Formats: sequence, C-alpha cells, structure tokens
Amino acid sequence: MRKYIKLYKQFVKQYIKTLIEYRADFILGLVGFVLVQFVGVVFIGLIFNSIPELDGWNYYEVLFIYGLAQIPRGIDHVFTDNLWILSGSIIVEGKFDKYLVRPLNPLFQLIAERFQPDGFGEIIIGTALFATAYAKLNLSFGFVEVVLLISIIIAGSLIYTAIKLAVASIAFWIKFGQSYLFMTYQLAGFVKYPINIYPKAIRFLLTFIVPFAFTGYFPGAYFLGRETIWNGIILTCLISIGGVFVSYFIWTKGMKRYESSGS
Amino acid sequence: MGKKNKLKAYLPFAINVFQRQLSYKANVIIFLFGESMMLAVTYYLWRAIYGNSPDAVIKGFSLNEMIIYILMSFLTALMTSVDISYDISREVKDGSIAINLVRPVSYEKRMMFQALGNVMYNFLVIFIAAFIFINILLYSYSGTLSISNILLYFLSTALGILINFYYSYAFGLLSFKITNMWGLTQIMGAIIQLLSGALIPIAFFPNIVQKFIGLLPFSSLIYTPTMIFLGKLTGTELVQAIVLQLMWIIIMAAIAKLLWNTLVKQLTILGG
Amino acid sequence: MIEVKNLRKEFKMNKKYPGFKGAIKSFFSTEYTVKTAVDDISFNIQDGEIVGYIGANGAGKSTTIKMMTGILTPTVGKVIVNGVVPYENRQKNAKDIGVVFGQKTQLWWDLPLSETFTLLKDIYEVDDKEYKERMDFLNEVLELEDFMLSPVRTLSLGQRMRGDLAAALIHNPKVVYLDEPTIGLDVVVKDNVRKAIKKMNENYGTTFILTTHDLTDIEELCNRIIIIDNGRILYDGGLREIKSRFGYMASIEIQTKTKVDLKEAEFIKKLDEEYIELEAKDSKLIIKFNKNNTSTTEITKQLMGRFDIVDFSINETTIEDIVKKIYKNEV
Ligand SMILES: Nc1ncnc2c1ncn2[C@@H]1O[C@H](COP(=O)(O)OP(=O)(O)OP(=O)(O)O)[C@@H](O)[C@H]1O
Ligand SMILES: [Mg+2]
Repeated sequence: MRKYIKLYKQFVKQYIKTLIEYRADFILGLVGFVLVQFVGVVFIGLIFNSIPELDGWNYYEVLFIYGLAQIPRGIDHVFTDNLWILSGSIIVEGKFDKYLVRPLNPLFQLIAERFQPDGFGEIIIGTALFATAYAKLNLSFGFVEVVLLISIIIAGSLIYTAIKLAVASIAFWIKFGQSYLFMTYQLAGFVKYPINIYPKAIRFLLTFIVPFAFTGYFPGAYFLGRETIWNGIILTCLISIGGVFVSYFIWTKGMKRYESSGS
Repeated sequence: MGKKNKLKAYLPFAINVFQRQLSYKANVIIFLFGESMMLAVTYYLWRAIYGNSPDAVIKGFSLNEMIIYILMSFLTALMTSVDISYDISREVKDGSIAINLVRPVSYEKRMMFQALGNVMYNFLVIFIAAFIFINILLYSYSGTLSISNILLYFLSTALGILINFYYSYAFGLLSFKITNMWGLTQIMGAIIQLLSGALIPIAFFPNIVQKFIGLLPFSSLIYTPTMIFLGKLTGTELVQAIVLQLMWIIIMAAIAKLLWNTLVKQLTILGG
Repeated sequence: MIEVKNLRKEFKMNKKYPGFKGAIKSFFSTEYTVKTAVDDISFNIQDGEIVGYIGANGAGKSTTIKMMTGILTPTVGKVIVNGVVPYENRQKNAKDIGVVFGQKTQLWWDLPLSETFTLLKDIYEVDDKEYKERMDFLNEVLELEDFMLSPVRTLSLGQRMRGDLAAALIHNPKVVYLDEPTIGLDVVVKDNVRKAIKKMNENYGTTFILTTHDLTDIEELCNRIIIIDNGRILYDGGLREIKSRFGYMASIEIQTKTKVDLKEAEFIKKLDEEYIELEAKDSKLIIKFNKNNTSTTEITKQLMGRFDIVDFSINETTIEDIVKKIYKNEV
C-alpha cells in the first residue's frame, strides 16, 4: 500500500510538471468545462425567470443540489478519466498488454497514468454554486455537518468511479464500449435536478440500479431538511462501498476475458 | 469532363463514412438510447416547469409546443452538427493529413463528402422515423399539419447543414496550429448549445441578449429551422431568417477559404 | 526454467462481410468464426538460453509470447515460468520478467525517459546501488544519454526502442521476452540492441526469448531457434544445423533489355548441380542459388557475357523463405 501511495505521488508530480509545460492547453480545457457547467446554470436561471418554484424547490435549493452534484462528478473526472480511454481505445487496440506485465495492480496503473485537470472546471462551478446557495439559503453548518459533507463528497465520488468502472469494463466483452459509458453519463444528467419531478420508474432506476441520485440529490436534500439522515448520508456511504466492490468484481471478471490484439 | 463526373470521384468518401457508421451497429442503438434519456430529462423538467407556472403559455410556447420544440430541435441538431473538425484534427494528430494533402483531391470537397455520408446516415437511420413520429404527435396536438412549413423546414435545415459544415471545417483547420482542440471544442460546444436554441428557445433570453444572439450564426443552425417547423416564423420574418442563413453560408465559406490559404502554407513550412 | 505444454489459443471473431451490402449484412448478423492462432505447442527453455522464435506473419509468435508473459490465458495447455503460471499469478510473474513489444511502447507517453526509469525503480523496488550499476551499463551500451530528458512521445522509433529495451532490463529480470525488438531500426542501433542483449546474457545469465524477421539477429544472438507456422512447431533445434540446410540461399535478379527466354539461361545450372532455380518474367530473370556451393561473382560473370543487363540486384534469403522451405519439405 505504501508503495502505491508513493508511486501515485510520483505520477501526480510528473503531471503537474506537464501541466506547467502545457499551460495554454490546461487553461483552455478548464475554461471549456467551466463554460459547459455555466451553460447549465444559465438554463436554470432562465427557467426560474418564469416560475417561482419547481415542484416545491426554490431557485437556490435547486442550485444547492446542482452544485453539490457537480463536486463529486468533478473529483471523479480528475482522477479516473483514463477509464474513458480504456473503453474507447485501450482494449480495442490491445494497449492493455502493458499493464499486465508489470508487478502492480493493473487498475492502479491505469488510473495513475492520467490526471485530468479539466475536472476542476466542474469542481469550481460546483463549489461556487454550492457556496452561493448556502449563503442565500441562510444555512449554517456546524462541525458535524462539515464532516458529513466531506464524507458524502468522498462517497459520491466513489459512486461515480464505481459506476464508471463497471460500465467501462464492458469493453472487455465487446471491445469498444465507449457508447455505453456515454449513455451512462447521460443518465447522470437526471440528477442535476430534484428527482421528484420524474416518474417512479426513473426514480427507481437512479436510486437502486444506477445510483446516481446519491451523488447529489439525497445528501443535498438531507442538508436542506427534506430527507432523513439514513437516506441522505448513511445510505450514500453504504452504497459507495458496495458499489466499489461490485464494480471491482466486474473489472476482475472482465480482465480475465482480455484478448489483446493481433501483431 | 463535366462537373458531375468530377464530383463522382468524391462519392466513395461519402459511402465509406456511411458504411463505417453502419458497422458500429450496437453503438447506434446505445447512442439513441443515451440521447433519448437526455430528451426524457428535458421532457420531465419542462412538464414540471409548466406545472408550476401560473400561465399556460410561457414566452409564447404552450407545453405541447414546447414538447414539439424539444424533439424537433434535437433532431435538427442531429442533422446540423456533423462534426468534421474532429476528423480533421485527428488527421493532423496522427499525421495522415500529409498523405491526404498530396492526393489529387480537394481537401474541402473530400471533407464535404465525408460530412454528406454522415448526414445521409443520420437521415436514413434516425431522422425519417423520428420526423414522422414528431409529425404524428403534432397532428394529435393540433389537428393540422402544414405542408409549406415542412417544406420550408427542409430548406432551412439544408442551409443549416451547410453553415455547420463550413463552420466545423474552418474550426477543424485551426488544429493545424492549435494542439489542444479538446478544450476549444468544449468551449465552442457549450456556446453553441446555449446560443443555437438547442437547450432552450432563444425567446427565453432577455430582449437585449436576443438581439446579440441574432448577430451570431448559431441560431441559424437549429433555432431557425425549428421555429419554421412550428410555424412561428412567417412573412417577412421568415424571409429575413432564410436570407440570414444564406448570408452565413457565404461568410463561413469565405472564412474557411481564408483560413485554408493561410494555414496550409504554415503546415508545409512546419513539415519541410 | 520455462515449460510450455500443449499450448493452444483460439480467438472468436464476429463474421464480417465485404462491400456495401456486406456492411448491411454484418449489421444484422451475429455469426462468428474461430481462429486458432497457436495449435498444440510444447517446448522447454533452460536458464541462460537465448532462443529465437520465428515464423511468417501471423504464424502465432506474438500470441505465444503473450501467453508466456501472462497477458493471454491459453484455451488449452499450460505455461510454467520458474514455477509460476504467468496468467494465473500475473504480478508475481511480472516481477522477474522483462517484456518489449516492438510494435507498441510500454513507456509513459508524456514522461521524459529519465522519469520513466525513476518510476520503474520504485515499481520493481530496485535498490539504489543496483539501479545505478544497471543504469550505467544500459547507458553505455544503448547510448541513452542524448535523449534521456525528452518526453517519450518526441522520440524517434530507434530511440524509443532503446528506451523500451532499457526499461525491460532495469530490474535485472530472469527472463526477457522480446517481440520484434529490432523492427524498423537502422544498422547501428540494431547492433547496439544486440550488444545489450548479449552482454546481459553473459553478465547476468538472463534468459532471452525473441521473435524477429531479421535473420542476422538470430545468427548473432541465438544458439537455438524454434520455427512455427500456422500455430504449429516446424523446427526446434540448433542454429548451425538449420544454417547448413537452408541458411545460405540467395537470389540474383537481373533486368535485361529484351525478353528473357528461360532456355537461354539454363546453362547457369551447371555451376551447382545440387540447387539452382530459375524464374523468368518478361525481361526479368531470377536466379536462386546456394552460397555454400557457388558465389554471386561466379554467376554474374557468366551472365554478363550472355545477356544485355540493364540492372541487377542480390537478395539474401529471408527468414520467411526458410520457413517456407521447411514447410514445403515437411509436407
Ligand atoms: N486478439 C486477437 N483477436 C483475433 N485474432 C487474433 C488476435 N491476435 C492474433 N490473432 C490472429 O492470430 C494469428 C496469429 O497472430 P500473431 O500475432 O501471434 O502472429 P505473429 O506470428 O506475431 O505475426 P507477425 O510476424 O505478423 O507479428 C493471426 O492470424 C492473427 O490474425
Ligand atoms: Mg507479432
């Protein structure tokens, strides 16, 4: 374990060096993602021009959940972006070989290999929205709330990673699996808004099958006093742990099926 | 040799792209599924919005019209956002651009035919069925269908496709100089989403912002055809909108030509 | 020691049909075909051997190497490398092996080469003293100094390959697998690569298994070769033996002003009763012969007088020719 932490630090150090080397690229990517997120916020703003509240949620409450949901998404984006490449090209082109001939966990190698600062765009916007909404809603968090907040952000990030890992692993079976990952990411689009606006079936899907609702809505609703601590916090943490185990299991199963490529 | 014969030489590029798309069979279904999820999010969101609104009509749209708008703008976006710039930047990255530049074919025409292959594919596999569905839906809402609106919609969408082609082509040419196209693509993607009417009808913006958006080409891509289909653009407004589209084709084509002329020189200098 | 027993690998592939109609047909089809890449292969390799593993394109070399390194799991059969089954115990096996795939780099694309080595040092837990010793050695034979600080993606093919080889050797592995380590390299770099392999083998007793299409690699390095075709072993044995049988085949190709008549060239066959083959295509004449029995000079001398020669070239036998030859003899 120590070895892994040490190695990860080394990788990140290298990446920071590369970032400094390619400042312009980094800034463009960051601006891009901030803008993508910003568009979503403008959309909400325009809508609330015409309506006072959305199924019982006012403007700032919606922003609160929206912002909270973006933070784990961004964190996961920063650290595990290479899973996209896995499902897009690494397996099809047989490039997974190299992870299998080194005496390290292949998943660790895959994840450590890439560090995607674009994700900070989501983290920045998410934090800004969260902070604005926090102030406007006159919330005041004590020590306990801050600890809970941090743990659900970590749990939320793990849920993202688990879902991504499970879906990216499909590529071991079908070679090119990026479209499945794309589809799953579209699904995450649902949880930007309070999920009580959707019919039961969709809510069920987002809660029990692909549990994106725990990355923003449930914890957010708990902090706004709309959900129990069980749903908002405890379940979020339990699901993140369970999710990591299930997805790692799928990953290991998939790896056994890896077929490399010709040449 | 007639012009017709010359163009025939480019047809294989279109067919090639068409075939390649077909071979990703599972992807098509999954992609559609993913996109329909996006539509579902938007649909339920708007239902909630109208449910919470004191008025039945918001910014000139009733709920039914809004549903048609969402579906139609999505379909129009599918047709008018074929991504040529990605092909170009990929060729620049893997170096195959060098081979393509020494071939006896015009790069622009080749790209145009590749885009055509994509458009044909989208048209046959997705558009036709979805378009019929939307028209049935519209008929069930309003009891009438306007043939002239449909025909004008096709015209306007075709113009939108051309604007997008030149825009995407010119944008892709930038990859001759810029290494991080990914970041720029994100930026432009976000801008287009907001200002083309793909996310929300432009009528929802404050008046002054609407004026500003009118000065940009993006609303010609999606908003104009969709509003024509809905019959919300008529008379002089309609003529103006189409003339504007034509104007943007000319401007974009000119920009593309200019970019090509300047950038291709630099590319040879670099490669020398 | 490496033991390979009755190894077999099958690949399932979706059936594809050609052409435009084919694309539509494939769209709806779920049929697949089975390709047997490696078909019942067995051999043992002792510590300190350098074994050349050769065969034509698509013969199954890379597939075998991938099973030996633990990347692929065999459909049937077993591999044991120093008591470990590679595909069942990947990380344990990986500690003691080095791998180079000439076609794909294993270096980190964005990192400078020097950083790659620092990372590898930690990954394989090489101690400082050994690391320095090995690094000095590799630097000397492979001349890495010049591009040590460049990011890997900016390296030329030859530089990258030297980097890859050094990366495979830095932790003093017991067994090293090299899949086409000299592909696309110039003569000087090829020589460096061979030197590095030889010295590692002499100094540390490292076992090498290498595939190549360059006969010179084999001649300079290997004491044993294994030839496969269509996934089956055709030959496994000493190099000297195979050389005397097939290694000295060469061919001369001449271009004449007028059309060649085969009968006119028949007299050449007198130079070597045992083996000379002739082929004529329009104004081209190809003569295949054994360098052990007659020489290039002798043949050209004879030809000069009889034909109006515009151009001529000499081709050494390629490894594929030998494989083909052996294949023909066996059938
Ligand atoms: N991942 C794969 N999926 C399907 N078929 C494969 C795969 N890998 C190899 N093959 C097939 O197995 C056969 C053997 O391939 P292999 O790569 O082992 O050949 P090779 O001897 O290394 O050839 P070369 O000299 O060209 O590198 C080939 O017919 C190839 O098409
Ligand atoms: Mg090979």
